[in-house]
Amino acid sequence: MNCDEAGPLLAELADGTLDAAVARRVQAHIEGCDDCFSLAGTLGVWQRQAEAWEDMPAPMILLPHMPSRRRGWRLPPWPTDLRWWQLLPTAASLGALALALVAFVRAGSPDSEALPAMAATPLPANAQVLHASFDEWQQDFQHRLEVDQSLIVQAVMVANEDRRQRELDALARLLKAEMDRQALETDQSLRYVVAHQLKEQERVDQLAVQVQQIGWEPPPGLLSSPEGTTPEGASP
Amino acid sequence: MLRDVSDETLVKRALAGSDRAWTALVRRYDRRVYNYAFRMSGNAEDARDLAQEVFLGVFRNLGGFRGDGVFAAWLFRIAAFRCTDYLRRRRPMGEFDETSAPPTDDPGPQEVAAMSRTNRRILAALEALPAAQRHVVELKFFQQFTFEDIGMQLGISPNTAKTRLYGALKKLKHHEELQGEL
Repeated sequence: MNCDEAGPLLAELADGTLDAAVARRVQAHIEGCDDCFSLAGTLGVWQRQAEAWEDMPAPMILLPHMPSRRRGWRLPPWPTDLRWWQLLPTAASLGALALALVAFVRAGSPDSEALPAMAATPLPANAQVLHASFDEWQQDFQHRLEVDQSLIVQAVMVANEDRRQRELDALARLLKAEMDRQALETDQSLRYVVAHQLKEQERVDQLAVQVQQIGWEPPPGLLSSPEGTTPEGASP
Repeated sequence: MLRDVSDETLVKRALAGSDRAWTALVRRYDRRVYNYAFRMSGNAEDARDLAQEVFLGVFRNLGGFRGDGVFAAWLFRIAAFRCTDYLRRRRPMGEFDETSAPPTDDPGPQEVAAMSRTNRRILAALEALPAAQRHVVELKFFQQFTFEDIGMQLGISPNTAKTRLYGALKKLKHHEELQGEL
């Protein structure tokens, strides 16, 4: 066994957790190797150092609360050894209760013919006062609601006034820029057309002068327009 | 009294909505977790934050604790994860390299004044270790977990944990300050 084999087993040798045969081989190596013997000493020192460490008090740890995980209400388990006759008292009680309920409902229900008479009966005077005051309160409430809504709208308008103004200004600037652009384009187009026409006219005039200089007579109708007119400057 | 109740029973009661059980569970481990975080970070303020984060992690994941293992091992698995994440974040730039020791801040002056000479010596020696080895030393010597538990907590095999402890011992042996004191 060499140092690289024995070294990693030193801690287990000290703990006494090594297999007996392996422990003997490691022990034999240590006794013949100064480095490993020294390392075993260091290991022992550090085991003692760890015990000598004086714990410092823990700081305050902020703890989150454990979420409550209460179980919901559940039916109790159904008894498995229950016999049918054991349910008789419960069934009798439930039956009596049902009968009493039916009797109570039939005795307390109003006759169907009495209902229109009840509806036709005028309300007592204090009830009418109450009704009128309720109407007033309802109107007042509605009015207040409308006033409040208009105030809210007004407040929102005031709050957004600056923003709306900025948006309007931006829109106006955009419109003006667009108009300027279109005006410029129109102006440039007109200039181009006029300049082109002037240039063409100049060429025609030059041609007419050259024709005059050579004394050439165009055949009749060559320079005439479809309507039969001769262009200006083309006649001899 | 809740003092004599097992961890697993406290967990069950806490999950049923008992704040008392939950508080008792935290109080049972807050000192241990805080000192663990202190040794890992070397800094009182970070240790406080880490302990807070660990218990928040426990709170969030308590429903996932199946009760088939020791609660302390499960708790320190969360703590190890938080500490690893913390040490990775604290690294100023580049990727986390487990073979190099992360830079540590000095503990606050009040904590230094309150700490014993032994504690200062231990902290200085631990700071000389890379994070991966420091974790194993912490869990083996201070928390006294088995290598199987350590492997589970750190997501490594038990043999890797043993090898890391071996490497840590070699570094600790050569640590001058500790050697001087020994």
